[in-house]
Amino acid sequence: MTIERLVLKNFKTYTNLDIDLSIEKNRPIILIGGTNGGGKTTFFEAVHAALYGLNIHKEWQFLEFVNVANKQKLEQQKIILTIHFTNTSEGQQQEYQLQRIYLTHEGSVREHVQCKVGGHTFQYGPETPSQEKIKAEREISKVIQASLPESLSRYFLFDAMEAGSLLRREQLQRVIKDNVETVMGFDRYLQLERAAAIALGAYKQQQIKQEYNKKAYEKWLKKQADYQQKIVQEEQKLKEALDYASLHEQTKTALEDGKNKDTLLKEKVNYTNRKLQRIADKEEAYSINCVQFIQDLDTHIGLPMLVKQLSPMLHTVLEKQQAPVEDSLKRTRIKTIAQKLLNLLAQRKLLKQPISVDELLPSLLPPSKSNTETLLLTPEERIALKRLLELPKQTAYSRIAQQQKELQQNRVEQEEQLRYLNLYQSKLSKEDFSLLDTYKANNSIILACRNNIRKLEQDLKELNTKMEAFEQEKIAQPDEKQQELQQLKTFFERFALQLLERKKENIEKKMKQGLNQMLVAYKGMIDRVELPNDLKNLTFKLFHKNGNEISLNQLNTASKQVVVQCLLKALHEHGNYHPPVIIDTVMGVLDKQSRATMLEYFLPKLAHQTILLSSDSEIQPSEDFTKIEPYVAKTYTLQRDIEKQATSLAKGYFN
Amino acid sequence: MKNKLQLNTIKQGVWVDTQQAILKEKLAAFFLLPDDPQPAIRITNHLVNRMALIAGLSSTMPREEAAIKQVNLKSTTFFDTLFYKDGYQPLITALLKLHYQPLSVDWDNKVELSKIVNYEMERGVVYLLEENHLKELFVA
Repeated sequence: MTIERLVLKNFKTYTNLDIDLSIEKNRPIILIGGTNGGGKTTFFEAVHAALYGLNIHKEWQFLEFVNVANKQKLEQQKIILTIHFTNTSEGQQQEYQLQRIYLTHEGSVREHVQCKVGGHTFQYGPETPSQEKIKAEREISKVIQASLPESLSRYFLFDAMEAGSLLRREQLQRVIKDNVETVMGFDRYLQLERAAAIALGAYKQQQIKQEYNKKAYEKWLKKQADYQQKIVQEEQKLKEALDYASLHEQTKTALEDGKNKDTLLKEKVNYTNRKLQRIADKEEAYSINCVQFIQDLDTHIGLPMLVKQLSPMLHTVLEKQQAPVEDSLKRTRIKTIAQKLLNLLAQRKLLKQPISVDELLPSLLPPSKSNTETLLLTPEERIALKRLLELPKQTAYSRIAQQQKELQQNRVEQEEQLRYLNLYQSKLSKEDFSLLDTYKANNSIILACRNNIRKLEQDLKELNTKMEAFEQEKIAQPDEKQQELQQLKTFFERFALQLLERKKENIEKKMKQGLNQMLVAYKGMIDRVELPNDLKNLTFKLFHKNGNEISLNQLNTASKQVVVQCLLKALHEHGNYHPPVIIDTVMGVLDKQSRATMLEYFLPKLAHQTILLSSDSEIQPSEDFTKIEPYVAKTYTLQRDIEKQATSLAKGYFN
Repeated sequence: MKNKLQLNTIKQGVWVDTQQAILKEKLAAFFLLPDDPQPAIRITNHLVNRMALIAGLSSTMPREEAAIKQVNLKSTTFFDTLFYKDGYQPLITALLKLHYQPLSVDWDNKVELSKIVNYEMERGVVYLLEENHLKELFVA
């Protein structure tokens, strides 16, 4: 398959793009340059979308793909993707034109597909009658399947940055299995082997004489087919689940990592919040204390001040207030005594002349104080003064002062805690961790599928043993036809293995050669590449010249990218599909030396058509470009107009 | 000398217009937390005036008749509760009688009484606003 032309209308940044991608003899490379955000990945997406369609159903999804610079009404907007390609079928080169049109109608998206091939046109849209639509869909699907099935597209249309991820344990086995089975066409032989086995079973059944034994054998055959079908179904299910797991592995790891970090951060946030709450509680308690204290500020501060200042004076005053009473008591008693004395002197006639007590008293008593010198206080006032003197001289402010001191320290701590809180909160991810449940469920499916496959294979094995025993007992000596059928089954099995053996050798040789050139960290040091002989256990190993195995997991990201690209190249060369290879972010994470090797040895012979999407820092316009120039058929540069939000095309590579 | 002294309809002195707010702010500062631009609590004028009166009455310095005469009064009066709250009235009147015993005061003369009360308050404010006096009072 060779892509000849791509025409895009209103697809993301491309308002109108018509690009000639045809190649020339010995010039298999189309080099498309673009700065970051220039539209390289969108171009890559557009090729994929033109071939396999856009998976959009709702208007909001349509809006994500339609060119934003388009000022037409939404109902009038159309995304048109047209891809022109050629493919060789049975020695004949055929031209194809596949067009997909998307438009919205009442909130949903409508797709119109048209495929022109050799004077025929197959097309369908939402209004096409179902029978006609099924027929057209089938024909278009055939064209795509023959050119490049979507399931294999990721090995031909890929982002080099992501290539290393294919080396993950599960994924690598799948890459080789997919390529060996489908790209190299081994599935045909496996299918033939299965068909021969079915035919053999049916023939054996016919050979059984007794009717009831025949029916029992027929039942087992059905059961056998049922097991095989179930195994295929479970394997398919497992494949899908593994695909999903592999596709989302990075997201899953990132989410798990993020969730763990988030949990820790949330604990820290809670702890900090609790600390801050304690400070806030203290502040509140302080506030309440202050309000209560201030309500009685005069009692707490004013009265102790009075006591402190006036205490000696008040004591004197109160004593003086007491004195008049005592004087009065003394006066009464002296008066009584004087009266009694006067009475006694009168009785004894000792008095020269009569004298009254009042006349006598002034000479007996000290003179009384004048009213002006006496402070006239009411009983309430005297009590108030007495009570005042009983009050403590110290104020109750010390408790408030202590709280203030603590809060002052707390405020410093609070600032620090708030800084921490902001830091923790800013680090909290905004991820939706519910996705992890989906991944968990997917892992359960993987486990369940593996268990089911193991159980089904065990059951099938037991059934086969039972059938073999039965065959030996009930079926007469195999006749010529039975032997032929038996041989046919073994033939396809052996044929596939032999073919694999031969291809395997070539792949191993090709990979060794490629890796010794390209894998800078082990340049010239790869002794051998080993692929297994078993079609069911497909993986590969690298060995150093010193004899040790080179662990694929231990390779750095750049080396992983090189290994996968070498593997894909080797597999492509020996496969039945010959689609173009489109690589986005060509140089991925490669360093200068690896890039040079990639340019000189890898890219020129990668495929019959190689479309490279590169920035000027990946394939540098001067130095790097000259290395591949002899192999380049066409060069373009994508130019994005940031004001118009649209990308146009210019000839030449970063001229 | 009459021994019953009535503290009601006491007129406010002009000092209230300027000094009251200053004292209020100084008092509130004792409850300010660091970085608080304004105190979270509120101190009433009533409280400020009572603090001023108590501070004035706490002074043992002799009272001067001439100074009292110079006290300027406004037409507005204090709320009576200023003197009656928490049963303070007998304490205030006792202290007034004590400090003014050497002077011949007609306690029935409302203007004279108002001048004396405001004289005490103003002296109290001056005392409280003098450096460190308030601090000494709070941390005593």
